[in-house]
Amino acid sequence: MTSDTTSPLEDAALVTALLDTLIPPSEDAKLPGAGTLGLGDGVAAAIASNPRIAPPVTAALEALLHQTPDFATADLDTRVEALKTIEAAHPALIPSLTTPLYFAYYQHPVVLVTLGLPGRPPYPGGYETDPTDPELLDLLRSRAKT
Amino acid sequence: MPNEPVGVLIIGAGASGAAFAWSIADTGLSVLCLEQGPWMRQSDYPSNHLDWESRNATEFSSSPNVRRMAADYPVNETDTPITPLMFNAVGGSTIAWAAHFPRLKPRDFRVRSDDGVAADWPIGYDTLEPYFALNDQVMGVSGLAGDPAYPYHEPPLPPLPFGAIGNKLATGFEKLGWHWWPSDTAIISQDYNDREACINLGPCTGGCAHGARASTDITYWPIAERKGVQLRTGCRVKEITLNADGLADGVLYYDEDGALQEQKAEIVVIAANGIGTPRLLLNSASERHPEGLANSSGLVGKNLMFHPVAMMGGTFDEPLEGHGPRGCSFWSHEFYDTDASRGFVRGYSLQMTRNGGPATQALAATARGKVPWGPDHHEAFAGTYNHTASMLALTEDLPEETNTVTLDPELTDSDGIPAPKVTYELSENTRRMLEHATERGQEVLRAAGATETYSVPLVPQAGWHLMGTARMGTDPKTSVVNEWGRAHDVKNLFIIDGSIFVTGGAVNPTSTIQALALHIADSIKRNIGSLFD
Repeated sequence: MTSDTTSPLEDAALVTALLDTLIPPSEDAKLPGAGTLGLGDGVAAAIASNPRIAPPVTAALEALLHQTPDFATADLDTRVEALKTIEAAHPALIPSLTTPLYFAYYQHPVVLVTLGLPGRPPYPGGYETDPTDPELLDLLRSRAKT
Repeated sequence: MPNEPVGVLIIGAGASGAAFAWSIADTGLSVLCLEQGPWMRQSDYPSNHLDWESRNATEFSSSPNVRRMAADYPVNETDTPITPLMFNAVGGSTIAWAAHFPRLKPRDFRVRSDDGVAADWPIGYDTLEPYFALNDQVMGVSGLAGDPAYPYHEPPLPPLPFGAIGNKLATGFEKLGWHWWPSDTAIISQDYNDREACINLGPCTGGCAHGARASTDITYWPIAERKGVQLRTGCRVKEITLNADGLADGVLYYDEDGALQEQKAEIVVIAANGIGTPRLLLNSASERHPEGLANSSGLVGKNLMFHPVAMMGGTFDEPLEGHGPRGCSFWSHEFYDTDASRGFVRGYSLQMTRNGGPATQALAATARGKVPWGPDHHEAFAGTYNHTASMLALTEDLPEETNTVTLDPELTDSDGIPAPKVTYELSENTRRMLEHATERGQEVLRAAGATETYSVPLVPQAGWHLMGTARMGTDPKTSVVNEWGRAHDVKNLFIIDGSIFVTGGAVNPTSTIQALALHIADSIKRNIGSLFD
């Protein structure tokens, strides 16, 4: 549990458990949990630097810790139930977390490769795309104004 | 040392300023453009980075209030449901656009005559046709000739590939017998003018790292500078100054060090977009023009038009990969013209889009309640990721004098220049149009095979198109500039951007903005001998 002077966002174990609750590992274990993937620091920093969302998120996490002091070490089912309770009382919590979290998770090369994408920036490699269906183009050409 | 006076001074290096500069250089006059933003570097664009999606949403956001680049000015948007969007750099908003490039249609220029609403333009499609064609050549436009919804024209390059989403959605339009046609797009489908063909980077709106998507910093500016046009960046114009005869004689501007500078000129041309232009005119109020420069009509800053946008999407059983330009693959003008049975005048276009990246798709699906957090997250995401297709409805926004750009009494930019405030309300006509579009859009998605459909009746982050705030006309009482962009009140002052639109049609305006800029440049060339008479 964090001390009185430390923000829960600075509690690495708590943030890791929190992110692994929001995005746990996939059942086939191909996709890692978001906390285990090491996204905690970045997500916590993104929230802490946003004066609009940092206070309500901090308040909600303090409430979570007060309710479930061992959240960081609890099993997934326990964490899910604890977070659902807090979500009901602090409806801004989850949307505040998911925006930075989803950006971080779904831009991680491990996740991109698992989704079938190259684990690199779009440029310079670019991507392939399906050509236009030639039958559709023929249809259009038959209707074209001349 | 004072700045050397110039013949033509252009304010703004975006879509219109660049096209105008290139053309007016033919006069042999000295031409200078002042741009508040910097030159952008393709190596800085988001698609060079793994986290391109979050960069697109933050430092390359289309909203200056989110992006907050040093060159940006804030916009008070507390009284508008649609967020005004723009980009301040060499290239202007063509740095951060999807390059969808339809032209206004002939009937768009005569809305009063045909539909009894708004006002007619003082010029028609035929006036602009040669400039549309010229501009297509310079920008590099891909498309398919022969669209029955338009007068015949030939884009210089073949259409971009539809991708799986476009191919799928086209089947829906075919089933319903609705009009559809590949988009004219300012993205090159083949190598063209020293630029390499599109490689489907996708996030066009964050800048094109490959240079396949047109922006005027890589199309018009290199050839304008070769003609001798000077471009000075980091220059934020404070006001336009007048001489004793009431002619514009230059500007006062802050340079990139924040020092106030004076620049004299024989002709002043404003190309600062539908918000920046009225802001500058209102900030140029003087004893002679107490309500703002060129504002004897009282219409500077009034009649602001956006194109209010609805989004319709559908979920499909089969995977639909979404790589490719984010903008339109094809459009439909099935509901473009007035049909009294629909309960509104004028109409809208439908534009097929491609999917964003995984993060954007995850957030969008979460907002629709389709992807929960927790143990079910992955299975739910797999059911929606690359299994959706969407389209936008771009509605015609008729001019209303109550939709305005004014000067905010408190908000300023970093140089202390009063910032603009946008006050805007959707009309009942537009509401009905948006409602109709969301229904018809979902109908065609179902026809294409969507198992589930959804809609966003008004997309808030969609104020890309800024029009109407200094409109053109032949009567100085009801317009700000004449049929070739000259201010009625100041005969050596010209406006060449979207501000001068009389009505906006239901298509993206950049092609028409640039054609207007080229038309005005040619008009000045023709009238140069009598310009000051």
